[in-house]
Amino acid sequence: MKHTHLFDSPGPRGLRLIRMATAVWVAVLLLIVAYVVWRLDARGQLAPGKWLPFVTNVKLLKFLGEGLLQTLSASSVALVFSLLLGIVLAVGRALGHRLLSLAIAAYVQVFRGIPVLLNMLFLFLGVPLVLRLNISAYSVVVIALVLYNSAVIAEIVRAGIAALPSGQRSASLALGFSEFQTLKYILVPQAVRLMIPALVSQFIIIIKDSALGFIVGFHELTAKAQNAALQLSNPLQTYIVIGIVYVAINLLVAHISNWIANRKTNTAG
Amino acid sequence: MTFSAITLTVGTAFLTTLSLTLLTILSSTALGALLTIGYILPVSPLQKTVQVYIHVIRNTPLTIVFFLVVFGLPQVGLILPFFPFAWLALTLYTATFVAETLRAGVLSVAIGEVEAARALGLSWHQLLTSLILPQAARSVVPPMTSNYIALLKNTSIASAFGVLEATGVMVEMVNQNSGYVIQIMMLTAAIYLALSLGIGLLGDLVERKIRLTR
Repeated sequence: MKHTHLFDSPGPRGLRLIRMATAVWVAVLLLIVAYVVWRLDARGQLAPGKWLPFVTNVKLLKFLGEGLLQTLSASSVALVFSLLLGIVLAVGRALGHRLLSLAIAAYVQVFRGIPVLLNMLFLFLGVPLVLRLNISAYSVVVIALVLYNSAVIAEIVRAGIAALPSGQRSASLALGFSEFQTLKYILVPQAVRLMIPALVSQFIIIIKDSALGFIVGFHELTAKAQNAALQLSNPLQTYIVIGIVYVAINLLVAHISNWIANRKTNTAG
Repeated sequence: MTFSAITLTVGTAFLTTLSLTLLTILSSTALGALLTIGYILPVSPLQKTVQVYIHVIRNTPLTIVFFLVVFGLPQVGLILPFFPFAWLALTLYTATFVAETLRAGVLSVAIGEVEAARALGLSWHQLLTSLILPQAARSVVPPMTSNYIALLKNTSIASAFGVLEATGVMVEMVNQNSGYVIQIMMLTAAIYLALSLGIGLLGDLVERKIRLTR
């Protein structure tokens, strides 16, 4: 058990209390589950016909699978471009040019301060109306995600550069590297490696935010789910299944992130 | 519509955004604190329940949480208007981030200090109020501020679920006034930005107020 340092090891009275609390909580939990199951059953929500399509209906699975591919594709593309733009922004800020730093700081502040959905709506409504330009829903989602996440990643990389020992920069400059070369060959590669866990976690945020795509007509997993729920008239079941899919993907990504983090500390030590 | 009328409409819609944000700050902080307590108490089924809840909800897109609340709760007998549904969905989601922040805060207190306090004979209550909570509070303020800023931005998703807050009203205004598209968007973005910065400044203020001067 974690947190044991917060408590004395329980004596007979404490043990009795813990046992009682355990029993009470298990009882409460069972009651809640029983109530929910009873209500759902009474409303016919547990009928096999509402759940089985997710196992047996190949057309439905293919339909949802296409959505999943779109979600993963848009999220991956957004991650790559956010990473590239984020690093460029972090480098730009670290170069020490005052006007450039100010502009980048403003970009970061603005895009971290407004909702991603607002970015999507700007592109979705604004670009066709103002620029008389057609823009695909896929691009709307990817660009909106890149605008927000590049700002976040720029800050992550900046923090990574700041966390490096200052001797790295001094030594590099003493060896005759220019300010830009120092960043390119010495600081950024180390900072990015240091920040890999944070960057992978950012991927989870991107995957979750890509679900907003359904609002601007992008046919990713959530949009497909909405469609399927309408046709099968089983919204609750559909969103539970889709929720499980998202959780499974994100836990997998988190797991990979932990694995990378552990592997890194092992080789370092 | 004239642009000043539009400004007024959008501005009024931000009152809905703000009340949704403030209500959710209160409820999600309360629920997050309860989750943290459930995580810390040495009652293992309770810990497991809290862990599963936090893991599942944190990894689910907020839109899916909204869908589950909107379609799930009526099935178990809870039918509410759009606004309370949005409040509930935002609370269930934000509370998991609050709980992780609070838990990290409690864990940030050095084990040696807690053991020393216990060795000195401090009661559980004294331990909590004079050692753990004051220290945890300091380390918790900056990440908590980020949670609340994220919440403010997340309220925009309620616009897709029938709540006429700022983002929803912005879309309405853009569709009705094609002459002012850029102005309406800039106005909305500027107010969101100002509110985000405002929450950030409040967080800094609180941080400075409770900072320990050694």
